[in-house]
Amino acid sequence: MELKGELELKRNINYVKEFLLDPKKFTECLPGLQNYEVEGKNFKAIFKLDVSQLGIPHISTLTANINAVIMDEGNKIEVVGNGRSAGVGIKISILMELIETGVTVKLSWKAKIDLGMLMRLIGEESVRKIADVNVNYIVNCISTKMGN
Amino acid sequence: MKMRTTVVVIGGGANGLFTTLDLALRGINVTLVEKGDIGSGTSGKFHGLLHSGARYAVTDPEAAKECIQENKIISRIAPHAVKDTGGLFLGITESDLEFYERFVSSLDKIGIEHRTLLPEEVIEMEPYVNRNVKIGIWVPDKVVLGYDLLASVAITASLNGARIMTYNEVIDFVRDNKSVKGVRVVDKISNQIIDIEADVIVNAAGPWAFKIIKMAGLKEIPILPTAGIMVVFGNKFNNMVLNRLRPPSDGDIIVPYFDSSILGTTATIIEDPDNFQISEEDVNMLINEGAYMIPKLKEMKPVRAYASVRPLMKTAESGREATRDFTIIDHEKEGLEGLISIIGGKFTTSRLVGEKVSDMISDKLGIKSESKTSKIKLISPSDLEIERYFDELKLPKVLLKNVFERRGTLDEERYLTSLYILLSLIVRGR
Repeated sequence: MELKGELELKRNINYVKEFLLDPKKFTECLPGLQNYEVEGKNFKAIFKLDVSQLGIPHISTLTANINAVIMDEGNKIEVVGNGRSAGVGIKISILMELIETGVTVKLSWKAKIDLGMLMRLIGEESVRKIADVNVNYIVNCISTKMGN
Repeated sequence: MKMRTTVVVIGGGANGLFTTLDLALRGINVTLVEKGDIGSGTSGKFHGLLHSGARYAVTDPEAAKECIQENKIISRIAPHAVKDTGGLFLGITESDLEFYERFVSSLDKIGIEHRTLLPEEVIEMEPYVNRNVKIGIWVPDKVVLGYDLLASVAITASLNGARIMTYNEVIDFVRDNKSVKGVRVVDKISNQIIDIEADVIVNAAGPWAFKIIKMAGLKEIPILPTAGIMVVFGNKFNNMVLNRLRPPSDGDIIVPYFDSSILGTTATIIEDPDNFQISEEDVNMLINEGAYMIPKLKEMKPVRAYASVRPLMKTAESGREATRDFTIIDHEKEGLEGLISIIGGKFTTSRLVGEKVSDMISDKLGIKSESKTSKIKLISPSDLEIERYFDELKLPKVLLKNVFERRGTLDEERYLTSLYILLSLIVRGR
């Protein structure tokens, strides 16, 4: 499943790149962050996925863990990770492309999310609702931290 | 062998038993069939919490209202099976505190009693709680002794005319064109096959409800099976039910149950409800979450873990009576007369499920009647001459003697639940 979007950031490209390559800054934008460890460009984190879209009365968030690495590819940055939540394996990769547009930077992002069994059990539409809420949280957090 | 009844209820969990009791009290002839003992499915594997509704106050106010209503009713009709422990919602982190205002104003809107406590008050009441606790909110959560309550419902129903057939598994439906006219069961103790004819069949089979629906020849209902894992610690670290002050999540309830603390729960998605293994990863995740409230949990090795299966409807279906908590499906709308299914529900609201299903059945049968389950007292072992029933039903006297001779000894309290098992035997014997 793929999600994509764009942001316009009121910072110069070096600032944006340095921010996005810092695992600590990225991790701090995970929803409901519980704790994390950083080692170089690798990070492990435990956070809370917002699953209120599923309409399960007794669970609004679910604990998720992720092991990921941030890779520098020139004006492209990729975050690749795998983890687990609610008994389901998760694989995620987020590719971010940075383009200077005068005094701002356009950040185009594309997220590929593989939720394994969950997709098969609850269908793409339900999974997309959960993914949208959580990815939007991360994107808005990054935007806010960059002073937008 | 053939039998005739007006209503057959499939499933001896909380929903099935309360439905059976409600119908029996209305004077409707009812037979319950259950493939194991009462409470052998999901109703025997929850965390023991009789919800005040506070947990759902923000995310599902309607469910919260039902919970507080039923919390009071169950406490009144079965005081022998309820421990009035009270509950605390604990704010441990700054983000927990951000939830406080929304939480308290939701409790006020619903009418759930509460009081805010300072950290030092919380720690005085609960010495094992995290010293970094920032706030506590007391709510009327309670603990319900699961098997004891279910056995009380069963014996009350039985003594009011219901037939409860434990260890009888449904293997087929008896059909007549576009309706189901009964069920075929096998008694797993005697191996006898029995055809039970009925006007209405209630499918209260919990996680197996969708298998029953498929057996009836209906289109499969899209259900997401999830498992709720609980971890049991051999020591009791809390006197009150402890909850985390945040939107409901995994690992944020700790229930004091006899000499144990029970930590739960999860919503682990599973493929096969009959073939599920609890992973060490899930247990560790629960302990890590629970340790925010009681740090000592991380130092202790749990004695065991268990899990219940909760089927969730994948999508909300229109045209069916539903709260967000449980759904009642009348399959007549799908062209099959005579079958009603109950999907979902909590232990706390099972009496209400029974009332709503029984209202629907009374309408179908053209019987004017009202539910009495909120008005009666459920029978407990002390209300019954157990010896007399054992004599009448020719049940093994040695079993009775083994239990009764614990009275007046060191172990009297530890054997009290055995009395409820005797009630289940009486119910089957009748």
